[in-house]
Amino acid sequence: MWFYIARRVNLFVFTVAVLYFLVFLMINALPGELATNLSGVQNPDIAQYDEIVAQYQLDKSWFNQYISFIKQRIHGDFGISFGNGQSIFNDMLTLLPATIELCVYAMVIALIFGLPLGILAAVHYNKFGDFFLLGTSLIGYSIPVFWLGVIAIMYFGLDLQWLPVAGRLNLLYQVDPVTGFTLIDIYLSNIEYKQLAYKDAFAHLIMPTLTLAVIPATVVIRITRTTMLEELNANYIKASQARGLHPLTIIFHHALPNAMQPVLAQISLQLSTLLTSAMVTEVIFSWPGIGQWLIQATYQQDFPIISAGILVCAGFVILVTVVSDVLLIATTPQRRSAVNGSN
Amino acid sequence: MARTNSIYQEEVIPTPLRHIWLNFISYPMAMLGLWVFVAFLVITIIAPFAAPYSPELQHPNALLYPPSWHDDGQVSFFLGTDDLGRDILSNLLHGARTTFGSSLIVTIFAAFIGIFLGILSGMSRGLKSSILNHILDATLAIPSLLLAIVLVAISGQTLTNVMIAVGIALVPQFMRATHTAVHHELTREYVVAAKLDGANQFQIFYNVILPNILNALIVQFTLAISIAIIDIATLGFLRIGAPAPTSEWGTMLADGVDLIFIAPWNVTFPGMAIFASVLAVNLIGYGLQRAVKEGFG
Amino acid sequence: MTHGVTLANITGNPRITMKNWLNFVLKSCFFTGLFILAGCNPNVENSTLTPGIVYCSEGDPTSFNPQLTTNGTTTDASSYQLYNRLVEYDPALGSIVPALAHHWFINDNGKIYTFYLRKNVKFHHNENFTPTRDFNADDVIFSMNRVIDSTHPFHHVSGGSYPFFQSVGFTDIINKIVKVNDYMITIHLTEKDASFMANLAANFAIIQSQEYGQQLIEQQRQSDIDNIPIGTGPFILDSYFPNNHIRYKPNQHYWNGAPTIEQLVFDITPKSTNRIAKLMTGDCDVSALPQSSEIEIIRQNKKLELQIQTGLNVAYLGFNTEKAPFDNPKVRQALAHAINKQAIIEAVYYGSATMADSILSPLSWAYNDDLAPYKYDVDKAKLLLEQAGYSNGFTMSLWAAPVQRIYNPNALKTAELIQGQLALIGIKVNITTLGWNVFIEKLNDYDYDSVLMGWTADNADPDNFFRPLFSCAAVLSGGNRVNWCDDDFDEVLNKAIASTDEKYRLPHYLNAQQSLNELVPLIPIAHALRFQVKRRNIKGMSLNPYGGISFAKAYRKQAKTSKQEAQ
Repeated sequence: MWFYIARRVNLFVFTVAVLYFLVFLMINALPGELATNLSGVQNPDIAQYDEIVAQYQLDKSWFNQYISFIKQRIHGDFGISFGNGQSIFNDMLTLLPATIELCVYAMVIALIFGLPLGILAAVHYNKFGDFFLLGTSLIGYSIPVFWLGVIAIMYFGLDLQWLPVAGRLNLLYQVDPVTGFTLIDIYLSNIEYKQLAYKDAFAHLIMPTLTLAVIPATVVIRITRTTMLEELNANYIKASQARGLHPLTIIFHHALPNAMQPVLAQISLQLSTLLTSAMVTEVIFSWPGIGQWLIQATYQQDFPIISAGILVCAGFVILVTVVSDVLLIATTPQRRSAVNGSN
Repeated sequence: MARTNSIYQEEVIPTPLRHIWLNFISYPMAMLGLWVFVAFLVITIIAPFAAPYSPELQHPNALLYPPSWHDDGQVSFFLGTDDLGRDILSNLLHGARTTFGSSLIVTIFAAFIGIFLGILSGMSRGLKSSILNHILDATLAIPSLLLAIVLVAISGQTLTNVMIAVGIALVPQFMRATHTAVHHELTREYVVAAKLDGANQFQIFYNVILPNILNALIVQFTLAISIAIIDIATLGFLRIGAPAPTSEWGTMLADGVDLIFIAPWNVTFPGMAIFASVLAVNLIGYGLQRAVKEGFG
Repeated sequence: MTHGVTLANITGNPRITMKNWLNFVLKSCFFTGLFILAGCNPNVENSTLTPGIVYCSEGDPTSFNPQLTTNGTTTDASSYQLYNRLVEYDPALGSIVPALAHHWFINDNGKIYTFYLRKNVKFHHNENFTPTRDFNADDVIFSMNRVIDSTHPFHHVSGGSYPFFQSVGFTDIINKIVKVNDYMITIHLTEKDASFMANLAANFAIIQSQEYGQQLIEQQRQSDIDNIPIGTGPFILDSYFPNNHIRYKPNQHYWNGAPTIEQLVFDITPKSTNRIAKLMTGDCDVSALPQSSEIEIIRQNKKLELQIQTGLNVAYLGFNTEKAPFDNPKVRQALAHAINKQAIIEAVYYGSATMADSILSPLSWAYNDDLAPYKYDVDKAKLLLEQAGYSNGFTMSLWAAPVQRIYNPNALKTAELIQGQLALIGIKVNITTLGWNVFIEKLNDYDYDSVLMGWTADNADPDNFFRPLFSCAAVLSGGNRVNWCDDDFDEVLNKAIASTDEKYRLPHYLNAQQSLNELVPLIPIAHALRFQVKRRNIKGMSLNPYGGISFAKAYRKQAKTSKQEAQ
């Protein structure tokens, strides 16, 4: 197994290197001065220009430039933004937890709702329940996430006025962003009225998370249903039925753990789609995360932010994919041989 | 199964493709999807002739008319007007060309390129395959929206660039699907048999592998169309898609959000159009999947 | 592959399995939770529990020093909140009233102004700075010399550009400022200027702390003076999270009475729909710049209150008069006939504006009502274009910002309307739009053919509409969007401020408007009504007709209902 992990880490490094190369090409293709686009310093004076050339080795071959580009980024230097001249890395650290929070909660909700419904659909195969769930999941998969968000705002926020429509927390609660995750930060802070702050944060979380969770939930339902169907028809299930085990034991103790693997594998594949949906959701709900920051940067043609955003988002996706791969292999021995054998 | 409409007692076994088609027809939902898809296709083609007004035409005396079935609505503006007096129905029809039509074109191109590259990478082995695989992984990890943003930032905001961006984001998906399918096929015994027979790479591919992966490719194609529609609409919604006078469903939705208090139909209709087209494509995809799976039963 | 043998078949009956039941329980818990939440919505009447006011602002400030800009967003965030001026303009009285100067007089020849300064005014303190003395004359001289004296240590900090002051020629008109004693200064002008007092009362003429400046020089952190500001105003800057929010704490030692609210937060929300939505759900208490389309909704909502003011502002389509074909007045006149202003007022302003024929509003005493307006006449426009030699039309760029301003709630829509209208005379318009702060910056490059902009008066003096927009000095400082420098015109403007007597000044302003009407460097479109929206229980906020917003006297009225006991 360690061999496999080593291989996976190796592949991770290689994939990230390819990613950096792609981004490096992109930055070279952007309009404007290369030095400006790499470092974020607009109209640099002579001293600054020389410093940038030295940092990114712009006077040497493209391969040197590529290597020093990687080196700068790994050391946390993502340059400064065109708009407000702040360090991009610092901005990212404050914004990334917001997006991660949204994605994680949405994924969890997708699993909580999707798994049971998928099992349900599998158990009721070819009956009304199955068709109903399948139909619902198809509809959910087809709704554009921005339309869903806007309708949710229109209905729950403005018509009924049940839920707030923007932001993470009512700004009058002064919660210091220690970790970046609102609920934890409220716990760690020392404001009065913590109860109300929790309620407020929760209320702000509901609509964006649910909007974001719809598409992953439908995917989870469909995949769970497919894999559960396969499992339920396997011989060992029939054998356990013959042995007289209770249906629930069969579902949870035998079929589900085996059916879970493809589901979890699919989740990491869904991650980049989830990020895209998260970015759109952030824009609609004014959620202060990476997505909204990136979209704003696009309007303002802030190239350092855009390239930093791609690196971070794609890097994040690759990291999660690798980690989930390793976890999967570590927990399910039967996949190892398949992986070791093929490419 | 024996189907025949001649008077002779013959057993005509349908070809696999016809079999899939017959299965497909038997699913009412999938057929519904197909009809809606065809309807959108027709709209895309005849839009300039069918639309009552030019989509950019502003009617200063007809601002924010509600749809015709409301009291204040008018039949001449069937689905109402927006806040510049432009007819919503005409904009929707023309928007079909932009959103629906260009996503079809984009998907076709991406399919050709992606499948071709996927076959190349699937048929290769060893180091070449590994490298291609990792480039694929890296490209797949970049969210399609970001890819589109960068391409638009590099080459400016026009409809062509948006289409290219969405196409480039789709190619890796085709590559991945083709690569997996081809790899799966290569492990089959009949491929080994064909090789033993003396077939070269191309013959193996054309005669043995291609027919078997066709189904998976078709399903992937429909999936890609729905992704393309949503991507183009999302870019339009974020206002980094096709620029101002071009009608596009996502942009119409974004414009409608500003009017959400006084004229919510500006949000409903474009949204329903996007939803209907994506649902139709997904229904077709689902129907195809089922038809393929139950193909030879 | 048959799926005939399934669990359902084996177990036989379609009873509710435990999984079904678990599902049901989960879903009902979720919905119950939602209902409970909705019922105990903490944002409703939460006066005792979250003391403070949230203001929905339309954008990020470029800095916290209004001297550096004419951008309304920046002045809103800083001018009345963090600072004071020597004098202020009271719209109710229609005259200049004391602020940091409690008394002043002007000598006979109008060239020497003497100010007596207020005592016991304390500056803010923050983590980095604690004042050791009260406000005195040194601070006034520090703040004013920063603008006019290029050898001042802070003159070039944060860009060295003071657009408002440059456009009114502060540097030229002020000869010297003399400190008579700690609480008395005299300002010597080079010639009479009737608008001088009004300019000292403008948003931009703030007083900063000389002691703070001194400390920053020693610490080598000069730019902090504009980013971590110290002033004498009712609020102290607590924190700023770009594109997100600005937090202020009240200044307990404010000389005009400490604010009653415990904190002030600016929630930066660029989209108007979001601002109104936040207002309705209670996330914001006051909101800037509602869109005209939302006015009706606001009127109908019982919890909200709409304040309206006739506007001393103008929205215009300005041409880059140095760029062909817009250097030809005939072309500009042709376009003036091709713009349908009424359509714009209805579609963009929803009727809440008056059509503009001059940059001055009819409310101003210097308004010229004899001007020959440019009627909407497509044929005349085409004729004029032909005469100018452009019978085939041409392509032009039109820059519009994607944010609401007081003078124009939707510049993009206006641009689209104009695009459609000019297409009728064969002109193709390409609309360019950028984020607001980037937009303002890029305007200074004068790359555009035309731009949709506007101007809100800073005071009642008509000069405020002319010199900042049309003087040669304003081309350098960046307020002159039409790139127009005409020495004769400047001469007329200068003559107009040479006296404080309205009777003497009026003919010059009539003359100026006449020239502008003939040469059309810009097409005035509309004078917009000013709106401010707030929740009904927020009091103490009056609407300043000259822009700027102040929370110094704002407070939240407690709702004494049984709801408080229930919570």
